[in-house]
Amino acid sequence: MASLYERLGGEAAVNVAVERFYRRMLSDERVADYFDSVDMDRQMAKQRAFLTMVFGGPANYSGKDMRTAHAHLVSRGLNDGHVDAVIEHLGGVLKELGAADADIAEVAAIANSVRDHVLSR
Amino acid sequence: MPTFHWEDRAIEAPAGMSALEALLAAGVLIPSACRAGACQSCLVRASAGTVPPAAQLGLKDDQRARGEALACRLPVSDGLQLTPAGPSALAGELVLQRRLRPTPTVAVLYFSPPPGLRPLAGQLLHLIREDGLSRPYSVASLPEDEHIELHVRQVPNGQMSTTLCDTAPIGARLKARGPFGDCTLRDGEQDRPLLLVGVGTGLAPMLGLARDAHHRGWRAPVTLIQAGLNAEALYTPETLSRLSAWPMLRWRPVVLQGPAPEGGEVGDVVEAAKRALAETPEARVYLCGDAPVVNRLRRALFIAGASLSALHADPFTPTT
Ligand SMILES: Cc1cc2nc3c(=O)[nH]c(=O)nc-3n(C[C@H](O)[C@H](O)[C@H](O)COP(=O)(O)OP(=O)(O)OC[C@H]3O[C@@H](n4cnc5c(N)ncnc54)[C@H](O)[C@@H]3O)c2cc1C
Ligand code: HEM
Ligand code: FES
Repeated sequence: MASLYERLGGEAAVNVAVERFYRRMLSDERVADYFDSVDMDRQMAKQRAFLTMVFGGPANYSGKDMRTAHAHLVSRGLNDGHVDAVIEHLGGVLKELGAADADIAEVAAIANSVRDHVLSR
Repeated sequence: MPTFHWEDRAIEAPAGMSALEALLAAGVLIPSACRAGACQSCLVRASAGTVPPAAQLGLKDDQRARGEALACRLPVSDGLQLTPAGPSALAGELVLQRRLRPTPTVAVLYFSPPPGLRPLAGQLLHLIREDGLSRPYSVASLPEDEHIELHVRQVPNGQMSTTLCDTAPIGARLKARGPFGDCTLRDGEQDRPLLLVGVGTGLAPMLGLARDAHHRGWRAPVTLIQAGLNAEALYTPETLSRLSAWPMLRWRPVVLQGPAPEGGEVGDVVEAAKRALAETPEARVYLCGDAPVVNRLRRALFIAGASLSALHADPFTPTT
């Protein structure tokens, strides 16, 4: 059976999803401040890394990487509510793109599995 | 500590340092301006070693293929082999032929180009003063024009802008590097609308793109938003007056402080640009001018639905 990443459409799906996801982040005042960098190209690259990871794609991140990547955000107050918002938008984008509910749930589970690392717990 | 090579020379630098910082620290004088990956002053070529995508953002495919990279965005690493960016970079000498002063703070300059330098409208040239001071400027002219046209705003106490607006005599020679940048029209898109937003002297490349679209027989609407502080600050180069008869062009002046300019409005350029995008949502968008406004425009138009791949911005990030 095809992997989650393949079922979602692989790199092509990441390419379509990444702009929609980033647009949602910037438009949601709960999380926008964390993504509001002048350097939008760099932010897009990070969002791409995020999506590749939670789509179950070929991204080799460790828990330690996730801690490091988000440590400066935790010091700015990153909490469970923000993670929930990110997962909510992730689901929204995947639904727009026609992903199956079971696959959306699997993506959410991957994101949830690193929650403690992202929040430095 | 990683060791990399500049031509034949081995240079050691702490991990995480950019190649630009490491080269400057080692006394290799390569040009730089924004140090943020925007101006392409610091272009080098990597013939071996690791070049992350961030060090090639905004470069054209042919430049990437040659291994060109932005030294300010290129982390040093073992095995990295760097050389100057190559023969295309140093273009030759421009000779100042004519200077107009449409407003007290703006100069429109015409230069005769060195042989072989034919920048596209919207590209950048780095002008280099005799003392080595280097600054990027955007091109308002077309390759077939006799002269290269640049618009320069005189920045208070600005070194290069004062030279260009005031002190350089007609006949002055300035070295140039370039052309750089991808704020240019795409081939085969004559049926795609354009949204051009020029803030202050950011008008220069936008006017160039509008003229280029006219020249290429664009069949879709070309919206040109010209923004400035007030009506006096909006200047109208002769090329713009001539173009205003072209039915595809919608010229929309916007000023922050009233009274409204003829045919235009008082308001925030970001709101005007969002409305224009709503009229032609499929437009390719080009933005140029002072960095804070252009960065705000870019973010707002992205959120309003423009794809980053169709959103080209040249913010005038000052040299640090
Ligand atoms: C991609 C790109 C394209 C550009 N195209 C153009 C162009 O077409 N026309 C044009 O006029 N300029 C353009 N610029 C800006 C130009 O390169 C110079 O930065 C500008 O002319 C000032 O240089 P200077 O040597 O006169 O000022 P400097 O001597 O470098 O600066 C003097 C002081 O003014 C400040 N300063 C510099 N720029 C500004 C600013 N915009 N607003 C407020 N303060 C400032 C500096 O921080 C410094 O304190 C462009 C910049 C970039 C990055
Ligand atoms: C839900 C679990 C999450 C996962 C799996 C995740 C994953 C990632 C990944 C893979 C990166 C790229 C790291 C790198 O290569 O440098 C990243 C960066 C980033 N993430 Fe997350 N993330 C999560 C939650 C969040 C939340 C809740 C926020 C804020 C609301 C957030 C904000 C950011 C930001 C701003 C960056 C870029 C950091 C920088 O500028 O270096 N992330 N994330
Ligand atoms: S791009 Fe490197 S200094 Fe501007």
